[in-house]
Amino acid sequence: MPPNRSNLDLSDSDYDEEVDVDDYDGGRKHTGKTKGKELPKNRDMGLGGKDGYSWEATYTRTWDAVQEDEGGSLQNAVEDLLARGRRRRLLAPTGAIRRTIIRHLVILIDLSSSMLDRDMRPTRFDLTLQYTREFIVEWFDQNPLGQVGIIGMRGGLGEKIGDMTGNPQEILKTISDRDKLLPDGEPSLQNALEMARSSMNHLPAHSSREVLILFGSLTTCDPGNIHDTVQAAISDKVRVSVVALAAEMKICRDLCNKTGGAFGVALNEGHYRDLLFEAIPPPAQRANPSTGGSALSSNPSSDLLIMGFPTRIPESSAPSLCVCHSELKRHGYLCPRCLAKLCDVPTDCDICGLMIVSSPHLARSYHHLFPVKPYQARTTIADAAPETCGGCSLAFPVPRVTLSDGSASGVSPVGRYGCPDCQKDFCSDCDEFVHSVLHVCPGCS
Amino acid sequence: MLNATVLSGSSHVEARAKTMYNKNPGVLTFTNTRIQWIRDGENRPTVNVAHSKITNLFCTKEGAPKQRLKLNALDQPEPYMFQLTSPTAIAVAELATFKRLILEVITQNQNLSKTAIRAAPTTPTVTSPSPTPAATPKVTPPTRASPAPAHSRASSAGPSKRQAYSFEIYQKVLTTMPELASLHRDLVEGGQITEAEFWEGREYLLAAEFAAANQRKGKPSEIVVPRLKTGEQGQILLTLTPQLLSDIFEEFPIVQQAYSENVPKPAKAEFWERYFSSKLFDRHRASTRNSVAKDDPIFDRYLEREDDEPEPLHPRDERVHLHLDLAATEEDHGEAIYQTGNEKDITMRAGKRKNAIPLIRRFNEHSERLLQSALGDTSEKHPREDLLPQASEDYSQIDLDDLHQRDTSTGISLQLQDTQSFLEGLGEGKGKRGTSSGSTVENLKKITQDMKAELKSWSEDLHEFNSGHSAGEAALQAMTSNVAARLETRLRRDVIPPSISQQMTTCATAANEFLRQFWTAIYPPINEAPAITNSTPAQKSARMTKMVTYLTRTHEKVDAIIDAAQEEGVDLHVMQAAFAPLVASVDRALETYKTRKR
Repeated sequence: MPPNRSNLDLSDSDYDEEVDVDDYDGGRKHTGKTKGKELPKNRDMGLGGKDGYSWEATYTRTWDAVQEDEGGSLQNAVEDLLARGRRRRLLAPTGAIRRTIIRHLVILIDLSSSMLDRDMRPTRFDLTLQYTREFIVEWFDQNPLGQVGIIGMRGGLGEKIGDMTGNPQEILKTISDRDKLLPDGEPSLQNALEMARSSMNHLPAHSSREVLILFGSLTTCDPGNIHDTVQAAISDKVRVSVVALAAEMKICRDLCNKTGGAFGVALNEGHYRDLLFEAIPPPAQRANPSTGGSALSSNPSSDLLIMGFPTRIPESSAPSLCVCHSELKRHGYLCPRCLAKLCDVPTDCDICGLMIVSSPHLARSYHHLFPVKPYQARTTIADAAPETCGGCSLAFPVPRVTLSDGSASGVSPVGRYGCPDCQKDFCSDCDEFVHSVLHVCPGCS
Repeated sequence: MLNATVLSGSSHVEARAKTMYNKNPGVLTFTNTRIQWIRDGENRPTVNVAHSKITNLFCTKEGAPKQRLKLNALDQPEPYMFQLTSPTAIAVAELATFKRLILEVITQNQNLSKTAIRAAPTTPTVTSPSPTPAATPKVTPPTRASPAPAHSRASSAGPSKRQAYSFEIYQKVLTTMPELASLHRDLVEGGQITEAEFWEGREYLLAAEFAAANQRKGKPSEIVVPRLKTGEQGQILLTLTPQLLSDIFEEFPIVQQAYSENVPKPAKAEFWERYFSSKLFDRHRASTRNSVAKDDPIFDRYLEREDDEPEPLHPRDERVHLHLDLAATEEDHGEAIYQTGNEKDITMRAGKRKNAIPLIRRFNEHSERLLQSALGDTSEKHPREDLLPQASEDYSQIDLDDLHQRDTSTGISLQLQDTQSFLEGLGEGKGKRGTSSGSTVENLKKITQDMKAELKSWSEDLHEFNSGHSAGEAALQAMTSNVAARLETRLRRDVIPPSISQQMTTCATAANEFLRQFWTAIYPPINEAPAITNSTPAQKSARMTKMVTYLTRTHEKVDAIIDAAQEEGVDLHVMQAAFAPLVASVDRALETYKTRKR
């Protein structure tokens, strides 16, 4: 990895290896390597001891990259760093690609005694529970048509904690009681994976089968040959991702690589959260790797799926028997095909098996398929350019001359980012808001 | 449990006794096929063990104050504990009878299993066209497969397609889901639908239960450490369980060797006592701590040299993967440091702390043994890359995965037919709404200009704004009445007597099941799971007709319940409203059936 010279002008030091993290990543992009997941691993290796190798020094003295401005304030430098971080996240390639919208995910939580380690505060276990809750809320927000189940790995066995359900409240309830989940014994990847696999075996082909493992242990205590289980997962098209809390295990990485999932080792609490939340956007459908990407598999045809939009029965109507619980309930939804009364949508009709969704659910899933194009960083201010942001109507910041040419990391030196379609300029804050929350360009629509 | 009634009819009771089980009084019976325990006042047995499942029996000694019976059975982690509650004299006699009967069964079972194992290797000699059938059959060496491996797994997948699940799985699913069980009781045992039909579409429940029930614990990875306790007088106590002993034998074959070669001489207890104070035991401990171990003439013979030389005592006979081989770059770090300038890497300086080496090697050997027990024989099942022949493999071995460019393909591109018009269509919709009043572009421009002008002084306009009373009040009125309506329905508690609501639930679940059967016959679920039954179209239409006949009766049933409720004083409208969705969906199904028939 050649150090990026342009950035060296920034720092007074003459350390040859003085490349800050952002630039390092920026350089990687030029080589065409994917970023994100791999980065932590390299950082991981880089955090060696004092008497390490010279390349490990890449990450020492990062504070030298932070420069004070004329007034002695660090604010500009900090803002610059923040902007870089944002842009890095937003620069992911965004074209319209096939993604699985109807998702099925099983979260395997390690409940072995190694989760009681305090290297993450307060403990790995408590942090995992907390993050899992946040994850589930966010996951259902982004994937309203999905379903989640939870399985724990405790005492050498897999333990069903929450059944597959599309209701976030229900699944949150299953992990609300901390005392019922107290870690104990050794984990068994094989048992838990088998369990997850069998709970997704009946799913139709249009839905994804995903497993997310939060793994704190460095061992797995399996009754048989785990390689058989990995093979079974591949043939069942189960995508396995692992977030390891301790260190990289070969079996975990192999598991992810072979099944098409992502693998990451959490460096600290924040990084753990980042890795976990990377599993929220729906996975892209890939050409089947085993067939070598032949012409047929590179663009397989797709089938239409029948969905029904239910009739809602208001809260104020008289109570009637529902199909799911056979209880008297006021509100509900009527299946358009068989007229059965269901308690909650989205769901598969208990009677006729029709998939029942409401249109907001579909709409909320759509932005994954039609993402907002990444805004381009403006390097100069055009003559006719407006003085205020196209999103928030606030004035653009006065361009700072001291700033480096950040084009490598996609940061605009003038703090303006333009939509390639409507050509409007937006500030850095709006850029992030549009891409991560709004999912629609305010200029285009 | 489900077939208990059937079984009890064809068996005869050989012994019977009053017992307590799980603190409940009941009767323990021994029949010619199974052992059952029926709680007082119930007619289904709570415990029901087939003779072939019984593995072990424990009884209280004669003269003990309480007569107890402990029964171990296959597939049952916990033993059954029964306490005989008859007066002591009778209880003793009863216990003796049970003991005799059960012991007979156990010996029978043991003999059966032995012959089963013995029969396996000898069968080939019977069927083979051997020219000398009288000759002593060749004793085939016991293959690896004959004794079941200790930690094997039934199969890595669920039961193969179309293979039925065992009865226990069905039973477990039903016991964990009482609602399903009652439905099953009503419909299947009532003969209205068949077992296979009932489970069709519910296979996933069975699959999940199967996966949960077939889990087995792996071998713990910890090295065997006997836990020593200090007794009251300061002596060291150690409880030797058969499990611990077999673990020790497995972990340290040398101890087994010593045991088999010596044991009658020093008695069993003395053998272990001496072992735990010997140097051999010290060597086997998972720490480098030195303790004062006595010389022992027996165990010192088995003592190997301390394994702390640079070369291990037991070298691994496999070739190490180049990437993992710490000595792979040995030649770069020649002795003459001044020539190459290369010091040995820290990972290459083996034996810096001499007393750590034996421990490290012990751990390595332990892990190797553990892996082998889990993976089976690695060389056969999974030829690891490092065991492949050398030659041109060297380069592929040092080819690091991380240095390869990742697959950069982002995925299959979404090819929506006419994407552009789809997205434009979205915009157009909005445009139409704006221009619905028939205004042209100029008009629109004018409107916006006017609006701009109007809005310039919006803050002053706002001061003069007066909404008028009537509009606000009307809005408030509407909102209040809405809330009031909700509150009213919520507050109104129409008390439906429990007996009626019970009937309602039963009627609804049964009708729903018929509806489910009806619709699955029309639209079979699209899943990839192996279905237990794959019914033919003819079967399906037959099932549909059957369900329709049941469904036509639903109206009568509902009416009957409504009548009954009215007698109890429940409002007619409440009942009709409660059944409205059900009746509507039944009607829809009947209607669909009619149109399909045509």
